[in-house]
Amino acid sequence: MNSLPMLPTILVDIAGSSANMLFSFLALWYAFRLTRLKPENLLWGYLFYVTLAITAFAISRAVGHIAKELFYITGRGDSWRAIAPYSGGINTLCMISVSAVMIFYHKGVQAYEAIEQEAAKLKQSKIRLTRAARELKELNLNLEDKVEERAAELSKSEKKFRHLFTASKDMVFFSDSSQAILDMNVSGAEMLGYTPAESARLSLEDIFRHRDDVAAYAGKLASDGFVRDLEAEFKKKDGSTIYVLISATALYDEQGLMIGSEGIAKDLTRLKTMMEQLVASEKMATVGQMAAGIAHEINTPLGIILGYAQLMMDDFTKDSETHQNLEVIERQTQASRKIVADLLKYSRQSGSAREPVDLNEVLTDAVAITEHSLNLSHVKVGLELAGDLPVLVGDPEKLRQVAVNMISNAYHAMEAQGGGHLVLRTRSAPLAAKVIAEFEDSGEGIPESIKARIFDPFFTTKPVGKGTGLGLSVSYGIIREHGGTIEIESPVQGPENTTRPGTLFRLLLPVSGQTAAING
Amino acid sequence: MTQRMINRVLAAVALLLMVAIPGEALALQVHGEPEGLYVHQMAHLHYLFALGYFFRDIRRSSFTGRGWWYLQLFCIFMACWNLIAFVGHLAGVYLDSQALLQTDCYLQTQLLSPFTLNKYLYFITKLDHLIYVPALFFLFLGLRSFYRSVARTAAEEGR
Repeated sequence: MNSLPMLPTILVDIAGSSANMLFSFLALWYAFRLTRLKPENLLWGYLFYVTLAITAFAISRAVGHIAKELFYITGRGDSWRAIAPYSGGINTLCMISVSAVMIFYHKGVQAYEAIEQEAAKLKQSKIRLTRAARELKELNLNLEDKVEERAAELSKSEKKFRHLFTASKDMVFFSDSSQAILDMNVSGAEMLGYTPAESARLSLEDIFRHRDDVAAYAGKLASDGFVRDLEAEFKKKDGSTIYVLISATALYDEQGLMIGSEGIAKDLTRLKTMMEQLVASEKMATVGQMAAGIAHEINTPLGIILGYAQLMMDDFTKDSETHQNLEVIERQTQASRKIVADLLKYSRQSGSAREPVDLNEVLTDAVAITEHSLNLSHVKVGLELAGDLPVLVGDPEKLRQVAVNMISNAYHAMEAQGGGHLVLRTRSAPLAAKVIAEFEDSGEGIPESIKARIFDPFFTTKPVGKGTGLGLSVSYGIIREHGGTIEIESPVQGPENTTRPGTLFRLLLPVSGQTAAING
Repeated sequence: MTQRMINRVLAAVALLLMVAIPGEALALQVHGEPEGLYVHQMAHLHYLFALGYFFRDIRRSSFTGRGWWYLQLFCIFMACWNLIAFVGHLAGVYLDSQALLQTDCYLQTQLLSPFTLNKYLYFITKLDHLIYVPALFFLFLGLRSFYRSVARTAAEEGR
């Protein structure tokens, strides 16, 4: 082989230069798009400048090579030789530039890494902050939910206790350390006869009847921290007394100092009255038994005295002194026998009938009997009789006697004041299976001190010789015999805790079935 | 007379002599013909050094991904091309002016025998694009790979 053709090198030079331009342009295009995609990224920016320098060098070189080949192919080698130094110079310049840019890569990467580290730190901080913010938000949301939940619970609880406070039929009160009442429920105010606004201005000293009780209450709270079942008397607005049972607890502040108390007072007045009536009832039962025994024993000798006195009266002329003395003995013996008969009635020793009784009829009869006397004493009688009253089973005579006794007592109560009003009412209480008869007068009433004794045998407020003191006790005995009870109101209780002067006797009698069962 | 005065007098005499007898004190020196070739060859060595440094830094940066792998291949191929070009330029310098014969046209140019190492090197290094084109191809692949990776990540973050 004498020679080697240079044609392959020429073709590779032209094709290679073209390919170089193509690939360098493509690389530059992607480098450019990278910078557009992430303009803040230093590394991609640096790579763009490296690629730009490489592309500039590749273009410069490729253009030079293609131009050279074309000049030579077209036979214009001289022209190329004129351009060649410039082409070579530019190539060298581009190559140095590429090298310089590449050498700065290290510093570029260092800067990039430092920035990236800072960015990573910032990112981590941001993540932590975001997480913390999310947690805070969740906490806040949860807190809101929890607050709402707690508020709802508190509201529910508050409503429950508020309802307990307001709806309680007992008195509930709060007082401070100076015994001033801070709050009192409506029942408490009603119990004392005050309006709620008035009750807020009261102190414990105003409502306790006795100052000693206030001191005992405060002392017990101070020493034990609570008061349990303290019996006391409260003073109502109208001056009357109610009996209460107090339970209270001391209230303390954060330092443990007592700042007041919360208490509940239960009205025992009615219970106390009932207890007193029960005691009286027991007492009367005992007295009745004793009276029955005495009456039975006395009745026989009195009968003999009366018989002998009457027999002896036949032996003397009517005008004789002895006959007159015997008349006195007979009269007094008969009076004694009447007392004994009354005693026997009171002690239920006397016999009684059992037949259907219309209570309205009994009251009408009693009024008819006493009407004349009542009219003379200017006592106006009103009858308010229920039309559909159930029938009782009992002794109509005895019940009539009770009614007459009641009217008589009312008449005497109003006699001193020169007249008044007497109202007789009947009504039924179907739920309690009772028939109720009420005798209400407008007299001066029964003093509190003797209220418990009015049913006692031989107890009377009338002058000596005017009453035996057996009327009410006999009536009581008869009503008991019929399975009933007697209640007294003096003064008379009106609607909404009001009172009016006078006395009300209320007879409560069981309807026929129960009466029969009790006494049959 | 102080030392300071002596220094001033000597400086003034030297200035007078330089103005009066200038001789070959040229401000600009002419750069001879081989200087361009030397600069070009030094640029190749500089480029080679820069590529080596770049390659080492890529590896040291411990960046992962296909793009960095292509960029390393670019460095290797481009460094090889620099060596080939450097050798090719030397071979061209030492090539005898009678070694190439152009008969009818440029495309029919022949490299004449006898074939020496220098002539073989000259011929082979003339095919340097066989290395240079793959180098740029790897650069293109590397940047395309970077772009696609970043675009995918951006799309994922966007979702």
